[in-house]
Formats: sequence, structure tokens, C-alpha cells
Amino acid sequence: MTPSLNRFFRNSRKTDSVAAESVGEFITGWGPQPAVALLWRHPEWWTVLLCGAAWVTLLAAGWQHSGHRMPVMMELCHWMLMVMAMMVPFTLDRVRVAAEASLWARRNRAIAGFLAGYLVPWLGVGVLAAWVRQASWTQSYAVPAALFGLAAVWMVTPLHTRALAGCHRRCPLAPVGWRADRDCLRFGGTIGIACVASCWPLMLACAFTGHSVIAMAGGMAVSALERWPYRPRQRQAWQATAALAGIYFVLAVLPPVTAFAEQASKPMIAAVTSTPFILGAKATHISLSTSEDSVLWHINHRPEKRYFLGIENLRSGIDSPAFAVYLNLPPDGDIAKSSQLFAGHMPLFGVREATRGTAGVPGTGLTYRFDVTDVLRRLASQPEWDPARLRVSFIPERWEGKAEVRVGQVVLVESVPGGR
Amino acid sequence: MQSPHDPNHPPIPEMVGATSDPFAIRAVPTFISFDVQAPTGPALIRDDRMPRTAHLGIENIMSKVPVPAYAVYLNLPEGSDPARHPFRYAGSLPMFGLVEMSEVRGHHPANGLTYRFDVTTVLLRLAVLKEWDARTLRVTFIPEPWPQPAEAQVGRVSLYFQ
Repeated sequence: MTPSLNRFFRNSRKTDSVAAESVGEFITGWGPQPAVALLWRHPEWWTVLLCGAAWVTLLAAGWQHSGHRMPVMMELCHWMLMVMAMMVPFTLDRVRVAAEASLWARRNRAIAGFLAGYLVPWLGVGVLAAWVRQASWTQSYAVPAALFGLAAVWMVTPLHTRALAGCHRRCPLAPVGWRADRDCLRFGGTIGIACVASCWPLMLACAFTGHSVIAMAGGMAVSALERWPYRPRQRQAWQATAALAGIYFVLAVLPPVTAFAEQASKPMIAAVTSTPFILGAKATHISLSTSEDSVLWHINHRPEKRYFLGIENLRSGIDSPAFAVYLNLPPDGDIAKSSQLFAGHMPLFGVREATRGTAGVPGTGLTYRFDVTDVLRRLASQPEWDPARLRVSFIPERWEGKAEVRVGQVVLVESVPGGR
Repeated sequence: MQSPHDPNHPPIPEMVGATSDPFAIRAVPTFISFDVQAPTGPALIRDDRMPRTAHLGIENIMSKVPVPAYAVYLNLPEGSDPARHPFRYAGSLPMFGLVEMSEVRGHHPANGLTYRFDVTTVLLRLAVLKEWDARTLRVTFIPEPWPQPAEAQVGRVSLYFQ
């Protein structure tokens, strides 16, 4: 045994070393290639890949879902992706500690245990956030503005300083067995709890912006100022957080055309009828088709937008009554008490001529367009709001004769003042 | 391949053994032992022709009260006089600042004190004397004379090959 140990510590090429007795074969004459050595030196490499994948997924989803209200599970998935992208990069040094404090054969298992323990406290907060975010009042820039403001206040409290220090804790890890797994989970949980205590308002603010890429990048910059320097740059972090609060406050209070002039783009169809239909002398109710990611889900989160209901290509060969148009009128609702649901009035004056056409003018019929922004916002602020069940009701004036008006299409579009 | 004498790429340490649970050290000698595994990673495969080293880590020492300094010995026979075994001496644990390091203060987490000793020579001597089987390591904490009760918690004792 003695010569073996001697050779081992002298880094000898002899094959009868102490290691050979235990592992069966002592590999000599081979050193790790530079790439392998780099991965050995940085056991947290696959955690970095996970963080990168989370960012890519969030960026890809951001173009489609940013600002949208999402179902609870989808919201929770986005929350955990956000934690992975924004918070885990700041625990990479702890991940490395967990790996290096473990036996070589179980380094990756130790990292997995650490990450599982770390994510559990964030999952608890995420469930709460996803549930609260289902309320329509959270779909406003005022909420993230308030949360960023709260984060700025939280940063100057001793509790935050204490929690921030806790993010650098180190827990002893058992080398083998269930104790080793338990210790890795506990180590991750300890750091996770400290992270939650430190960054909860900042993360909630980012979540309540609808996982906006800008908010997440800003939040991550704030965290970097606190976590990466040897001495936390709390003053700069506070200033950056206050700036984020200011940005979202401005978005919440400024006139939409000012805040979003650069976003004045082409109108987006929010809902539409699938087939033409006929209006008669009795009330007609039709449903509009919306997609799962329709803008109507987050209508109150987009204060800069206006919504227009278009009733297009109304054609008739005979005289027709005028129609009043309502949104989501209850089937047995009293029209006199539903003025808040009134969208507009269609007099249908000249419908026969517009249908017949004249020389050089095609007979495309009449088209009406109503600004229904206020009606929709009122509807969206109600807890039972469901864009998938949006209905349009056509209530005719009293009419004794026959009426038959063919409606080509009803479409609800989202636009901005000044946009096309 | 790792090149010898490359300060930018020091050898990768590999943990080969550690205690499973925290334990207390008091104003009397304390003995603990733990199993040592054979290295299976970089400590085994290293081939930069530089001597391997062994490091003993005494990690996360914490206490709410002042405690004496300790001398650390490896494979010290129980009941024997440490002064007669100087070659088993691994290092000294001064406890200056222990209480302060055991509390969250400012931006410092309560990680306690951590020491790391190069015990390559001690282990080789023990091996030459056939007093170490390379499978179990026994660590002894000998306190300096201390008139009052003392107790500190040691998070872990670990052995690294590098």
C-alpha cells in the first residue's frame, strides 16, 4: 500500500497505485482534452445551458404572448422559465459549490438536487402569482409600476440586505447515500428561500408585465448589480429599479398615442364571424370566433389600443329597418337597461342603392364601423369575461313588413389612434 | 492535455471523503472518522507530471460563544499524547472571529469559518509507517487549555485530492 500511495501522490504512471486497487484500472498516460477539462472545471455548464434555453423559450414566446393573459398552467410555466432565466444564473457559484463538495461520481446528481430544492420556493410563489394574474385588474401597467416601486422600497430595508446575504450561504453536504441527496435539496432550498426573500417584488413585477422581455432584462440587470460584484452595488440597483418603476408608471398614465406612437401598426383582427348571415325583423344574436391567444384576453393590459366593430357588406334588395347593435347582450336582457352594452346604430339608409350599385360603383352594400373600446373594457373588467363567448346582438326597430339584410362579415379589430 | 506549471489551469480538486453529519467540538479532545473513496475523476486521470496533493477541509465551523483554538491531527491513537506525534499534525484552527462569522452581518452570510490544510506530507508519512489504510481517515481536534465551557459546530470535514 505504501509504495502505491507514494506513486499516487508523485503522479506516477505505475499501474499499481492506490486508485487502481479500488477502481480496477488506473488510467495513465491520458489527460483530459481541453474541452473536457473545461467542462470538468465548470460542472455548472449544463445549468448555464438550461438558463440559455429558458431565455430562448421566453424570447420566442415573448413575440406571441408578451402582455397576454394566459391560463394558470401556462402562466406558471412562464413563471418557472423566468426564474430559470433570471434567477438561476445568480446561483451558479452555489451550483458549483454543490458539485465540488460532492464525490466525483455524483456531481451532476448533486446539481440536480440543488436545482430542485432551489426551484421549490419559487414554484410556491409562482402558483400564487399565476392565480392572482387571472384577475382582470392585474392586466394593467399600473400593477408592475407599483411592484417595481415596492421592489425599490424593499431594497433599502434591512430584511432585503439579510436575505441577499443569505443567497451566499453554504451548507455542508454528506458525501454518499440519502443524506447526500437530502443535503443537496436542503442546500438548494436554503438558497431558494433567501432568493425569494430578496427578489420577490422584482420577480412579481416582471411577471405582471406579462413577462415582458424589457422588464426581465431590466430585472436581471438589477439582480446582477446586487449579486455579482464583491460588494453589492445597492445604490445603482435601487436607481435601476426606480427607473423601471418610472417607466411603467409613465406607460400607465400617459396618453396611449404618446406612449405607443411607435407601435402604430396595422390593425389586428381580434374576432370575426365565420360565415355570412341574414338579419330579419326579429332580434339576431351571433357569436364571434376568437383564437386562444386573442388580444381580447388582455384588453385591459393594452390601454393604448382601440377596438372597432365592423359590420361589413350589408346588402338587401328591399327596404329594411334600422338596427341597434349590442355586445354580449343577455338573451333575456332588457335593452333599456343595457345601454352600457350598446355598440352603435345602423340606420341602413340607402341599403338598396348600395346593394344595386351604380355605373362604375360595385354593389358592395353598406359597411358600419363602431368604436367599442369602452364597452369591451367594461366587459373585460368583469370576472366572467370570456372572449371566446363574445356575442353581437342586432335589435331591429319596430318593423311591420318583411326584412332581409345579408351581412357579409362582422369583424372586431384592434388598432391604435394614428395607426392605419 | 494539462501542461505542467500552468498557473491559469490549476489541477481540478476532487472530493474523496467527508463526514456525513455536522458534529460538535468542545473543550476536550474530539475524534471523528470518515470513509475515503478512491478518486475516479481528475485526481486519478491527471497526467501533468506534477505531484498530487491532499487537502483536509474543516468547513462551516460555527459557534455562538468563544471557543479555544484547536490543533488538528490525523490518525492520532486514542488517548495518546499529541506532543509525541508531531508528524500527525495537520494544522491549527484559530477561532478568531468565529462568533462574528456565525451571524449574518451586513453582506456576510453566516457560513462560519472554513480552513483547508495541505496534508500530503502527513498522509505519506502515515502511509510509510503503515498507519493509514487509505480507506478511513481519523481526525482529532485537540483544544488549547480553556477554563470555561465551549462548544462549536463543525459542518463537515472533507478530504480532497488534487
